[in-house]
Parts: sequence; structure tokens; C-alpha cells
Amino acid sequence: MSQPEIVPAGDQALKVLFENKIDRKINQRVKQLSDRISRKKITGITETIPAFRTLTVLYDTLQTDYHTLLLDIQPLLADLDETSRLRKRIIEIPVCYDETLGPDLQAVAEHAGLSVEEVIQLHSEPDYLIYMLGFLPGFAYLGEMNPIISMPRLASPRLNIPAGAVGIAGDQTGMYPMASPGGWRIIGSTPVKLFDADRESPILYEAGDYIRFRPISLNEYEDMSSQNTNAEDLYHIVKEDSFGDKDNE
Amino acid sequence: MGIRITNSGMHTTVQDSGRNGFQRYGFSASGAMDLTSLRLANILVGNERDEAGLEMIVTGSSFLFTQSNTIALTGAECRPKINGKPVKMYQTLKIDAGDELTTGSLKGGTLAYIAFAGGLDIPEVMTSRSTSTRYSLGGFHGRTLETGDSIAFRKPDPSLNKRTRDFLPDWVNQDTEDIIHLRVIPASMIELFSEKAAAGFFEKEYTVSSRSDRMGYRLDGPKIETISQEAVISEATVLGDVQVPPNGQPIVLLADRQTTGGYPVIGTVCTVDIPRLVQCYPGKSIQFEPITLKKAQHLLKKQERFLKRVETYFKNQKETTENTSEATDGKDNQEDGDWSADRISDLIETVDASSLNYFSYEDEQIKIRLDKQNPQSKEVGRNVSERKTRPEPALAPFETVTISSPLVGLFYTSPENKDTPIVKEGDRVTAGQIVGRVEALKLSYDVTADKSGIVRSFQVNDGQMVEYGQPIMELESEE
Repeated sequence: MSQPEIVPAGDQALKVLFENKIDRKINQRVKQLSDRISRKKITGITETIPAFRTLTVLYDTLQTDYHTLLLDIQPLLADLDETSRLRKRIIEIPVCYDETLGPDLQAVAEHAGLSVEEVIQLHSEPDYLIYMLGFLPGFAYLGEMNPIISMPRLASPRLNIPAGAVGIAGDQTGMYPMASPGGWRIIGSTPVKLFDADRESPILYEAGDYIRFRPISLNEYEDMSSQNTNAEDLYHIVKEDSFGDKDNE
Repeated sequence: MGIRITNSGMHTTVQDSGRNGFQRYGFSASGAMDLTSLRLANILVGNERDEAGLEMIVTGSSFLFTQSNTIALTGAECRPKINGKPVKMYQTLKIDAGDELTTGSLKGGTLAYIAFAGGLDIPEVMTSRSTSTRYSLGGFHGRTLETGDSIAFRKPDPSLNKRTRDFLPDWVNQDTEDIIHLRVIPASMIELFSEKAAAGFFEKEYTVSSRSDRMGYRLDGPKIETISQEAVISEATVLGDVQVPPNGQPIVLLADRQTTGGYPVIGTVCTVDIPRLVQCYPGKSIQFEPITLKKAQHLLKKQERFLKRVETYFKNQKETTENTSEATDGKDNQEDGDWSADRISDLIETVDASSLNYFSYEDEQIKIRLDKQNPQSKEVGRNVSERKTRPEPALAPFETVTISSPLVGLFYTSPENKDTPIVKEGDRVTAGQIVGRVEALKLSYDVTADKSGIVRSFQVNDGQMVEYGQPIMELESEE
């Protein structure tokens, strides 16, 4: 793979640019570099923001400058493909695919020419990679949904999609961490509070993690809604070999 | 106990230096749009420079103090008064319990700040007290302040020594400049624009659109063409990014910007020029010029060193005068001999409001001559010449009352999302009645009649850009 390029982005940030396409491997290198920089605790770096193919690094101009950071970051670009030590963290999100919570589920099924059960099965099957967070606080860009259940957005957006809604737009799927207007086809809802400002981790996941949707019944949904889910219970850490070098998906 | 809001203003929020460190989770940093002004206010009252204060946009708010404290006002001129008596900005003011601080509509800029010694008792949400109204997060219940709200002080200190600073940010007098020059560090993505388009961006003039807000300032001007219409793969946005959407009209991304974006970025406004931009009213002309990264970082360091020096100066002052108990009454500030811009503008306002037509003063430092009749003295303020053209009430059978615009913005005769004018020529209006509205930075401000009367004529058209104090309509007074 080609060597990433470092460029300035204003006087308080720089960007590390990887190959210009949406690709799991490339995104994993972005995440790998982000982790390396965090671990190094480089003087002056205040935040790293991973995206599909770029890592944006914010820094404090009083503590460092662009040229110093070039020297700090360059050595970390080597061997980013050796992801064998990377652990895979899967966050399991319980989703109730009941028609009272997923008003567009039937339409998605009809559009795909499948039964509702088949849509649920296809939607909850993959482990979705979080490419990046953005658009809304805690909104995860997930890859890749089975294209069989893809469906265009609603022609006129809904004024209020409630927090926890799970939906489909084109060949993307996503979850709403907070209420927002939007044109996504809503197929279900999670009782888990995806965003909680008072929690130690206000957002339960970050770029590089995986989301797994676990179908639950309406009864389970109601039980879980009334109690505070312990965030730790949702995490499944997979350390090892099913990922990294041997991961050839 | 602290302050109670007696007049909310249009958009007053609690802001600090921002909710930093959470952009990777999709949270805008928010924080003060003109961070330099907020920092200066904090330094004046002895706070940590990034402490939370209040940000007022376009119009000021008013406050009843239920506890004594020391405050400082910075940013755009907001004509502050304590119990009706004008006070200065850019210095400490001691306010006693029971006093009322009022501020008016802003002139010369769009943002003003108030810092309170010891800070406001606002809970931190994710390490910051900043308000994100878009996500109802942080600040005072995640929203703008409303009349009747109360905010307590954390550690008020009414006994601070008086501090003034003859420092005015470089944008303070920028409304006399025809064009604001903003320095931009070209982006790596500039390759997505043709050489001609990139050169045009730095040569042509843009104006600030009235659709600007805390997310971004939109600019109107010559279309910037991108080479290909292909979308950019989304990546993190940076404060000051000049984003070019397909319509070719640039948007400068600011405090409440979305955290990721998929439009080409032509460059990034350097940090020290952000306050100059955000203080611009809609309609202001902007020209971009390229700056090297090295030069931009040098300017930023220079500014930081300056703030540090002011901070150290006050800290030392505090230590050496801690035991003396001299009067620190910020309300009485005419003794000091320096002729700051503030003091001169106070003087102009005083003369302007008085029946004097001519005033002159001279000492070793300065020579001032204010002449209301002489058109050459127009630079002392627009109000002077406008007042002159007003007919003398005693000579007219009916008094003609001019209703002036309370702020800079676009004047509309009809309510938001409606086409029917609120009033038309010949209508009878009563004192306090809404007769139109002025829109600036996506905020709508009602224009009301000061007196009852009959609408004689409109001085401006529907949708027209109006200046602060510009006559909007004339009434034939019945009083």
C-alpha cells in the first residue's frame, strides 16, 4: 500500500491522508495510527479524529508546531498493516424490530421482496465496522449492509426521529443516538441509551469498533427501557486471530 | 445567588473555550465564537482565561444582580449601563446586589461577552459549560437565556482592584474598513479547484450572508468552480475551514459546525482572524488572502504571548495591592487621564444626546472637536446627521417620528414565513406595536413603534439591507 501523506489543515491541525477510497483495510490503518498516536502521548497533540481515509490531528500551537509533529508522526506510519496485535471490539446493540417501533419495516420487506423475518435476519447478521462518527453526536457510519435490503430515503423527511431508532438509507444502516429530523427508513429501535452525557463514556463506541444488532422482543425492549443497561454488558472483546493478518474479508 | 435575566436579548448563551476532545465522537466543540474577546474578559476579572461567560449575539441582555460581583464586558460595543448610567467596556466593573446591568443592540460587531469573577454556577457537561443549542447540551439547560432565568455565581469577588486595559482587538474599528481582509492557509484539497478558480478566490470580493450563524458564516460572491463534481469522502472539519458546496458559494465553518464534511475545502482561515470574521455583520465585504502556515502560527503565538503578558501583569498587580483597600468603584472612571477609544465614543454619545451643537476640548494628548452642524464631522457617528434632518417638532403641525433600525440586517415588512405586511402606509399604530422586523444571523428582531401615529412612509424596501440607526419608516405622531 502507498505511504500516507501528511498535510497541514489550518494552523492548529494536520491531516494524514491515506488512499482515497472507502475500504475496510484503509480505515483500519487510520484507526491503527490514531491508537499509536494516543499511546505515544506526543507533546501538544490534543485530539485525533479518525474518518474513512483520513486522520485529523488537532494540536496546540503553543506546545508544538507542524514541522515538529511531522518528525513525531512519520516514524509511526511504518508497518500499519501489521494489525495482528489489534483487538476487535464488538458492541452488541439489542434491537426490537417490532412494527410499532419500526414503521418502515414492512415497506423495506416489500421493496426487497422478502418477509419481515428475512429482513431482520439479514440486518442483524453482519458485524458492522464503524468507519467514523459524525453528522450527529454519536452517529456511526457503518459498513457494510447487505444490499438486498437497501432502500432509498423517504421522499419527505420525518420531523422527529426518536433517539434509539435504527434505520436504512440507501445501502447504509445507522442508529440515531439523539432525536433528530431525518429521512431514514426506520425498521426498529434499541432500548440502550446510545448517548448519555453523565456516563463515563457518553458514547458507547468509537471508530474502529464493530456493531452487532441482536433482535429482541417487545417485552424485552420494554424491560430494558425501564432499567439502565450497564454499558460493559454490551461489549464483546475479540482479541486475536480471527482478525488482523488472517482476516481476509 | 447571582444574576436574574430581566431582558433575554436575541441569542444569549453560556460559552467557554468549547467542549474539546469529543469531535471524534461527533460533538461540535461549540464555545465562544470570538474566543479572544471572552478570554480578555476573563483575564480582566482574574478568571482562568477559558472560564465560561455569557455570549450575546446582535442584541444585548439585561440582568438584575442579586449578589455583588466584579464583571467585565468585551467584544462589540453593547452600550452597557448600570442603573441607567453608562459604563465602559474592557475594564472591571463592580456591581452591587440590587443593581441592574442593561446592554443594548450591538454596534461595530455582532458578538459581546460578559465575564463574572469566579465564574457562573453552571454544571460541566463533558468537561465544558458551553451551550450547544442544536443538541440541547450544556450551558443553561442546553438553551439560550430567557427572561426570568437565574444563574448563581460560583466564587464571586466584588473586591477586585480596578483593572483596565487599553487593548482593543483589531476588529473593533473594522466597521470603518470597506473590506475585511482574512488570511487563509491554502488546503491540500485546493487541487480540486482549477488554478483560475483558486486565484479568483483570493482576488474577488465576497459579502457575509444573512444566513450565517454559529455553525458557519456563508458568503455570497463569484462562484468557485471545482474541477470535478465528484464528492469528497467525508472527513473531520476544522475551525475556519472554507468549504465550497456545489453552488460555489463558500461557507466558513465555525464553533457549532458539523464535525465531518464531504465538500471540498479550499483553505482554512487562520485562527487569529476568526474573531475578525465572526464580528462581521451580514453585508460586510470580505477578501481572502493567502498566508503561509509558518506566518499563521507565528501570529497565533504572538497573540497568546500578549494575553499571557496581560494575565501576568494583573496577577502581579493583585499581589502588590492586596493589602490596600482603595476604592475600586468601576462605575466612576472618568479620572484616569487616558483617552481610550471608549472614552471618546462616550463623549460623542453624550454630546450627541445633548442640546449642544458644538463641543471642543484640547489637552496635551488630544484635540477633540465635535460639530453637529458641520457635515465634515460626519465621522463622529451616523446618528448626528440623521437627527439633523429631522424636522423641528415645534414647527410642524404634527410631529414626524422616525423609526430607526435597531441593528444591522435585512428589513422585512412581513412576519417570518408570511407575505402580508404587518403595517402599510396609512395604518394607525400604537406605541409598542410591532411594525416590521430586521433579520441578522438567522435571528429575527422585531421593530416596534416608539409612539402612536399613522404610518406616513417607508424609507426602505422590503428585504433591503439596513444599517444600525438607519430610518425605516416615518410616522405622523398623534401624541
